[in-house]
Amino acid sequence: MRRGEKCLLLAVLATLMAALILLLIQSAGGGGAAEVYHVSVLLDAAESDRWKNLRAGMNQAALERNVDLRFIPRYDEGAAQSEILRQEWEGGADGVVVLPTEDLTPVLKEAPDRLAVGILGPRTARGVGDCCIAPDYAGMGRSLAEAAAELGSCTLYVEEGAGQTALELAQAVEAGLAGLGVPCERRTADPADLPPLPEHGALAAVEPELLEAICAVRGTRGRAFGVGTSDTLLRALEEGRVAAMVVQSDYDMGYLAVSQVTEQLTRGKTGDVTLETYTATGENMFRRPMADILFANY
Amino acid sequence: MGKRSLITWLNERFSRGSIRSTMFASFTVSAVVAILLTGATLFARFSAQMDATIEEENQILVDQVNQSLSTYLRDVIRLSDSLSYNVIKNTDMESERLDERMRLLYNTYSDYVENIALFDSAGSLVATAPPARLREGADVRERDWFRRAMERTENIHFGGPTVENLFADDAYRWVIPLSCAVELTRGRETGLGVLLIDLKYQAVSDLFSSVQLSGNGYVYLIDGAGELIYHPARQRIATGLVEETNLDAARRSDGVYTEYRDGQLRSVIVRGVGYTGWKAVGVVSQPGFRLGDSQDILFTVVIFCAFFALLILMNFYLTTKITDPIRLLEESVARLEQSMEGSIYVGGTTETRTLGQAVQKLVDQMRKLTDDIVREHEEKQKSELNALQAQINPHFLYNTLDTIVWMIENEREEDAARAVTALARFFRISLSKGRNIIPVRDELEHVRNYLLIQEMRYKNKFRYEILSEPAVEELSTIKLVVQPIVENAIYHSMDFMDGGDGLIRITARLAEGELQISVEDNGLGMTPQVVEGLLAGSPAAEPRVPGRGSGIGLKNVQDRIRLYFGAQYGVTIDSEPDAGTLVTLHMPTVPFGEMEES
Repeated sequence: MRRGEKCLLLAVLATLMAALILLLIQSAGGGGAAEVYHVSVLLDAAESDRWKNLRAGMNQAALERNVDLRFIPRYDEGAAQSEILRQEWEGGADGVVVLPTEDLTPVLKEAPDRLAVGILGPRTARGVGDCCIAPDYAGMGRSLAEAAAELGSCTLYVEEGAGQTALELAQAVEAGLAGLGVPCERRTADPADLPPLPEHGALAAVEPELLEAICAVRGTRGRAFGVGTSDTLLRALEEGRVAAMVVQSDYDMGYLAVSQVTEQLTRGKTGDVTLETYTATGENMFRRPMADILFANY
Repeated sequence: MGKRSLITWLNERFSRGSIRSTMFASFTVSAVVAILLTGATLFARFSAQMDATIEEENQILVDQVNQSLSTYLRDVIRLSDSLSYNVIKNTDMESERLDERMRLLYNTYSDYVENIALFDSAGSLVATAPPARLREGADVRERDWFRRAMERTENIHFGGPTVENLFADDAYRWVIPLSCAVELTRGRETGLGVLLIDLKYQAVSDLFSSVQLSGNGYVYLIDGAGELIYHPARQRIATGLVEETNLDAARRSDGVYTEYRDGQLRSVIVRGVGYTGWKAVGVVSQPGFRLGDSQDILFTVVIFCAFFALLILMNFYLTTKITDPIRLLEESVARLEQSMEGSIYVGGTTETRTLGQAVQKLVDQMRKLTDDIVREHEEKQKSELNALQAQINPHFLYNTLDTIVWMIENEREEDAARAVTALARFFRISLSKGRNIIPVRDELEHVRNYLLIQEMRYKNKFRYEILSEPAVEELSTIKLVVQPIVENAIYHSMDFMDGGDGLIRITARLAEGELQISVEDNGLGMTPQVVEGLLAGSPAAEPRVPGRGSGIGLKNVQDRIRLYFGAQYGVTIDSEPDAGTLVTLHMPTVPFGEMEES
């Protein structure tokens, strides 16, 4: 064989061997079959109706992306949560989805690099998490302020020990009202033990539990404004006890959380997602597309 | 490099490269192109067939779900008819209750019926199954399903999916309302009412969500206006995360369409649903069959490389089989060129063997010609050597010297000087510095000196004449060709003549396009047999007498002329007994200096 012929034959044989080896490695490693990722969702009160749409979205994304989804419905505060989280990734979880909480930041920093972390809410100050799925809180606050501004004044209720999300929302509402020239007073309240409510003006709450408590009080019909949904709040909205609620699509939130975590696992990079927000009222709640947003999994 | 230059370069490479390389490259390129074309054609055909099969299966699936939905709707319509005609119409509301019979029917269809309700024309609830009461403040007259039923009493109306909030329970559920006008009887009065059957949205959703078209294909359901009834991404479409071409599908009649969306081609299968004006739409990405997976690509690479390697080895074997005999032939020719020894390789294919045999034949002929040339050259040299040796015949020299001595002793110094001078000139021209070709002038001078000496010796028994045309004297002749003829004339004719009557005339002229040197004598002549014997070189024809003549025969002269000039030249003899002899030498007219010594 001449030199050129030998070189050509060697090149072809080398390519053949390389392709064969790769093929064998892929076959041995189960290549060809779609990889199944294990993702755990740590969600306080995940069984409650508040998270029905969220779970529906997560389940749909898991179905489309071959994800084995595991919901951890309840966990205690602080160290217990951290321990549960550590157990998940040590148990083989490829990714986790959590609500934002400062308590989890230290343990998330200990998480291995391979673990994909999705945060349902704003990025924490310490920047943990591969992706955050959250609504535009500033926009939410503005929308709530615009709805409540019609009543001329507003009392804004925040739970004691409220989390970062609630505080951000509260600030946004205050800024929005200030921008509209509507006086606003912030008060701290416990949903189980509400103080006497003002008899005039809008009553706003940035946490669903507080809003549920407010709209249950006699004399608040048409004056309650808030953020988030639940079956109770939807009923209240329908009955007119809640005047307006600013909501995001929980279904989309859940769907995107699992999608982004899977994207991180397959491609090694992903990004934050900001959700649209909508103002639901008694008039539009049963009309599409609002009905599809509020009753995504009913 | 321009296109033309590339083509020129390729042509040069192919035409000047070795046969082996050209064949190897041609076979490989042809085979690779053939494999690629065949592969591509087969892939295209196969994938087209697969696509067609997949599309057909998808259409079957869409038809099946459409059929299932139609069956479901037919059952519901049957329920509606049963209620309308068998239950409601025959019941007097004043005296009878419908709830129980409605509940029976509801229980039968409870898998896909959420609730059944009957309203009068004022929107008051008449009966429900399961039992329920209206939510406070609910006014059904504002609902689309009520209005349509009251406006078009002859039809059954299917509404779009809606969240049911009519009844005073805490549950929100998606339903598809079916409504139709019914005849209510109260005593003697009849009036219109509206039957509402809320179909469970989940039942319709389950029908469609269980269908999986090829790839990531899906089926969705729209109403006549294109509004979504069911879509696997309904929630995301509501928020704009996903877009769908449902409005386009609503405008299409039943069939299969191709549309381009998000950088991808997809097939859209549209099927109308009976009774409702709805449409079931199947969406599948195209192409159905493609090499997208890395394993498929690696497999293709492995197969191609394996075939390519096999192809290279086969090409190598084939080209070697064909070109090795050619190479061996080439090498044997090269060896032959260098040393003229060895034989030509004969082997391989028919053509190569034929070529080898032809070259061998040529080589053999060449060798024979070469041998002939060498032999002729050797003969020529031998003849000339003989001629030269004969010229230095000691007898002629001794005799001539004796004659010179006698002349000196007899005080004939002038004759002796003339003889010595002639002898010196004779031998000078005989040697001619080793040349074989001399001018005619020198050859005539040579014979003149010879005749001068012989005239003295033969005491004027004969006389001689040497005549030549001036133009002839500068032509070429072989040396020592005239003197032997003259010698023969002297010894065979003049020696027998009396009283000086003998005449030898030597003439050099141009005649018939050739140089003719003739030696004519008026001597004894010869018979034809003797003439024939002279040219044959027969010893009897020319007996050699020691001391007489140079010994070079006529045959030697003829042979030498023919060796140099060819067979068409030579010696002719014209003789008649007692009349004399004419010997003519025929040679070509070649100016002296233009003929090569060989």
